[in-house]
Amino acid sequence: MFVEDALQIIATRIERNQLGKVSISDWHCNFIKNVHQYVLNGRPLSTEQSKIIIKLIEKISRHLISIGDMSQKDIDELLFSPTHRRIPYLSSNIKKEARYLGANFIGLRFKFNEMIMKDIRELAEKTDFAIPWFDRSKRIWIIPVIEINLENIRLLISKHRFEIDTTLRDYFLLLSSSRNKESSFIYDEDSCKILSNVCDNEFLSLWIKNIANGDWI
Amino acid sequence: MNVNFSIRATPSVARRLFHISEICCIQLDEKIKEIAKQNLIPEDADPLFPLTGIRRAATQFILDCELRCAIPSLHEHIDRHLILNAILMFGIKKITIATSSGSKWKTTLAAFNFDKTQIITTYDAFQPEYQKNYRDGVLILDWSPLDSNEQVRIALAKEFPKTILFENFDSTKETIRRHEYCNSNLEIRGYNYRWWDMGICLFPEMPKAVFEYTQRAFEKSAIYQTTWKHKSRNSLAIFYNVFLPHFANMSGYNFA
Repeated sequence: MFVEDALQIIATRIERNQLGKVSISDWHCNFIKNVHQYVLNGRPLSTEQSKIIIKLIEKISRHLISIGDMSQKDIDELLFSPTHRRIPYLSSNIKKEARYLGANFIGLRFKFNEMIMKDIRELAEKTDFAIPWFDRSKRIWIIPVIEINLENIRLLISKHRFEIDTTLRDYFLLLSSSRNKESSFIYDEDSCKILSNVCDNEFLSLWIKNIANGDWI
Repeated sequence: MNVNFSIRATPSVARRLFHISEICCIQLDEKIKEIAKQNLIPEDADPLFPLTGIRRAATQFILDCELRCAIPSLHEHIDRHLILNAILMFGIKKITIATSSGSKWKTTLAAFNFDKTQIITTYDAFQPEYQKNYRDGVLILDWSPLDSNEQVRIALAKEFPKTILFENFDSTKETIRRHEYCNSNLEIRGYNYRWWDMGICLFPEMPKAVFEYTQRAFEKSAIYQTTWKHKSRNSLAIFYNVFLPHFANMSGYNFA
């Protein structure tokens, strides 16, 4: 049995809601539906997609045998010497990463994914002054973080399983502790400048940046 | 959010911060308050009229904004003379006035000694020959809804770093303005002046759409009640360099 055939079987079962008590995550369901559509359109699987499909088959193999979709021999074949109708192409290995870039910007790096794009577009609809944009030279999406979109950004990062580092984790903690806190302005004798820490106040930040010509530090 | 900035410690920035401290919860150290009291204009800076009350506040505001501001004539003491005197005090001697009521400006200009002045239409202000040699001066853009649209004004304000938007009301509105405009809750009195249209022309990068919604939606999207002490949206004019008469009663511009 080819991996594409196994994919066809699982996709049909998911579509008809016939997987009984076997639990498959929403992410896997969406993945199978999307990849199945690619294959129906005559496109080959990638090596990573093939791996994920085989892992899923291993997880639900008992159920597939019990309902008569596959035999033990088919399963063994798929697990130990998988074959494909069309040769899989090599997946480019781009990790899903979210990093804090400073000045309330988060950078997202990921391989093109329509579902992530949809969620980023939804972020843009929430406001007219914090629109995410794609930096072509660095190949990352840059997301301005403001109060209105903070929860959605957190949700996007966890939903799509972006890898985050300690800097971003600390940034999220800082944001939680900045809620409802007063902003402060002090005069710095050394630099002869006013140093400010603006908390929870988008409007004031915009004024400092755009009108008072303040610099981020 | 949480972000750190460094800002020039000039008296004009300090004064505006002092003013902003009355609108939202910010802590200013004493030194900034001291800086805010420096470089104030003297009362006799205008040879014709004593600079007191709202005249002094508006003039100081124009100077603090470094001649990039909007001055709607919402008070009887805010007039063409005040604008020109502020420009003279700033030390600029080249003026371009884009207006459809040139004769009124000509009369006012006669009392001043500017090196170079040109009174042209908004359309002409786009022409290179009128911009050449005048970009380092001031553009006064007469704010008349019929004169030009928003995009034209934004484009012109980009050409001239020093742009003053001035709206002079006709006599019908005059009676209303003296009684209604001198407080920060104009919309409550049923007369909502769209000052943010002027502010956006000067600073198109600042949020605009938020003002188009109801007050409630506005607070939800850009301004949070916890931070903003439930102030009315007219309090926010300071963030757009738009002068409203109630500024004269607030910190930074109250000289009493």
